[in-house]
Amino acid sequence: MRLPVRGFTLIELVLSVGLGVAIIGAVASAFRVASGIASATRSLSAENAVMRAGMITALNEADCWTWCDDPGDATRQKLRAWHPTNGRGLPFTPFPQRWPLEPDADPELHRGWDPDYCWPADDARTWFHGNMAERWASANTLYGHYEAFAHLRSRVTLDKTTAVSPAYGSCAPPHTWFMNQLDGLRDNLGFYGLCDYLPANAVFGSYGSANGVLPVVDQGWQGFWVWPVPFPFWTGYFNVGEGECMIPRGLYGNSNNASCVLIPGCADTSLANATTIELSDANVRQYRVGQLAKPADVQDMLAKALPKRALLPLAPASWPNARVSVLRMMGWKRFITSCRVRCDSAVTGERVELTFTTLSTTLRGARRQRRVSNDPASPAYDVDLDGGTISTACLVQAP
Amino acid sequence: MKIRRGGILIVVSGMSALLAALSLAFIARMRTDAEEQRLLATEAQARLMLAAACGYVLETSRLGWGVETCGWIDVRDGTPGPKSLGAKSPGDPRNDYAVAGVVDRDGNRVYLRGSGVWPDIGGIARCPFHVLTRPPFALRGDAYYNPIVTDEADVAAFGRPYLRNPDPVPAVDDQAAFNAGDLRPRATSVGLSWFRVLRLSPARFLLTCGAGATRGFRDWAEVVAAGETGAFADRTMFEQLAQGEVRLWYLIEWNAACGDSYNGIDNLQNGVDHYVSHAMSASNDANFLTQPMHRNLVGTVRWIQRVTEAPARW
Repeated sequence: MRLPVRGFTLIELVLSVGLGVAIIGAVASAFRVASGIASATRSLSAENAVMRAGMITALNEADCWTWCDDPGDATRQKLRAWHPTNGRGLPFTPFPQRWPLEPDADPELHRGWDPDYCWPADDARTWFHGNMAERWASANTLYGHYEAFAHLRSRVTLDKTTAVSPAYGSCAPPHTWFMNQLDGLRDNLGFYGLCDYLPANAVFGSYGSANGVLPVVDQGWQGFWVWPVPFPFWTGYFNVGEGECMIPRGLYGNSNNASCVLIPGCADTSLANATTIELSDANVRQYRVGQLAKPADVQDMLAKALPKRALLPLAPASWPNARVSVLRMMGWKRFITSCRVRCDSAVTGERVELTFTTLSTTLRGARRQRRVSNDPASPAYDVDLDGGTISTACLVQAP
Repeated sequence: MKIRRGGILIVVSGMSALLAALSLAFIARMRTDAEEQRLLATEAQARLMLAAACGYVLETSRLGWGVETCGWIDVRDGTPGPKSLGAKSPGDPRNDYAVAGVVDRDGNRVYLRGSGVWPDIGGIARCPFHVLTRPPFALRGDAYYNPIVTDEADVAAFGRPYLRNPDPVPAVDDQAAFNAGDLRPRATSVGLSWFRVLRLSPARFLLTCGAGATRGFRDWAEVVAAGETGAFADRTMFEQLAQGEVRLWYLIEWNAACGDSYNGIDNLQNGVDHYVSHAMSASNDANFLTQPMHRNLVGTVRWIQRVTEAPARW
């Protein structure tokens, strides 16, 4: 039996070609959509991964302060410097070398930094003994010469007479420790360190002068603390004149509409190549950040203080461009560690940014993490930057 | 014989397989992302515990012992605390300020120097961090208790700020229940995080901040010693939980200083001696409302130091 041989009719051919084209088109379209989804997924996943890595990097930096001072790289320890002419240190200047503890039988005469002293509230040497109501520019000393109670120097001559108070003559002020701590922290750490190290209720004011830079004056406030005047050789001032009164203030009064900022002097900031004196200048001034600030003020502060560090400096151009920033500042008496992770898509240019603050290692904690010397043979190997003993064992103190 | 052709079926099957494979890859990638995201969330959770642990150290310097106490370093005489208010009554060498009958939540005297038990130096406080069903002395969460009537038909009350209801209002009416609270943990908050505090010296503490379900037990022996084996299926389960959690260590130092007031004293006119003192409790002027400007009223944390390696004891 011969099977009938059937061919294509024209209609069948047209239909089959049409169906074939439709199927191929559908397949191509589906593949394009699917590959687009896969690509977008990959891109989104990469951006998420980069943001996660950026967040971990920022948190790690907040805890370890490595950008400011790299314990393992002596070339990246610029904040340990000391400027001899002006007698100024930087936030990581080692106390054992510049401001070592000098004990005395009289605790009021201790000088230098004691890393193990906790400033208990019952210890009178931690109290402020000045006259909060006495104005710097006023000579009336209405409530008497408080320099007789507290001073930078342990032997002073109070020979000025005013309308309401006689000359006291030679005095031995019993309280000299606190004011020396105040001036010492300012001189050895800069403003951010000063605020970080002092207790929260500290009053910023000292009578007289004694650090070898200011002329020796026995009577009256050291003007630096009570009015916006710069210290000799310094370009910035600490007191912002809040309330237009020339009196010592607490932390809030000294940081109203202004901020003490830690200037790291690290790569990716405008002061990456700064000299010691430039870094010091930047760390002993207030930055205007409040309602009185102009955009240029804030931009200047951010350029100096906010490193924009590439998270993946060697990544291919097609990868997301991510930068991590950590800023440390104190304003309105609040200490802030502000972290920022910014990621730009290499494909669309779209920017994703995550900004957050975190509770983390303070400056003093960071100094306690670091050795004065990385040479195990050195006696300073086990000494931290405050003069304490480096220890990760966290041993309980014997009662 | 009828010949069946499967061209279209093959094409459609291929397309389906392709889409299924892509979907599977997408889901797998998303799952990986989610797992990595969970690690980040765990890290953040552990860091939240740093704030919680600092808050715990601050508050327990003065509060929470049944009586008000005077700080980890007693503000009266500089000795280790926390010891209660009251007259000094030498007699018990472990606590000169001991008040008879005053005990903490575990039935211990507020502070016994040399016991080695929290809050003594060397003691450890373990704090699983979950949300209570209703804390003691909880208030209702209403945003406002006396809303102003906006119905114009109510002529007598429309637009008038009547204080008809007490403000605030307890969460429950029963006084005993209000005082006691409902201490059962909310199920959704269990097993997420915890912290531990080891007191190293009068004012220095080692904090361990954890995110995970071990409830702050360091090892299985500690679980057994605490009689809490029922909280875990067995030792293997506990150790798996321990391996999967994040632990961060920090050293901190407490200080009694509470922060300064707005200005302490303000010279209102620069050329004239005209001083106004703003007390810490001033409330007459929002500008000088100094209490909110304080970090807290139970001391401050002087410094924080991350410890990157697990200490020998924590």
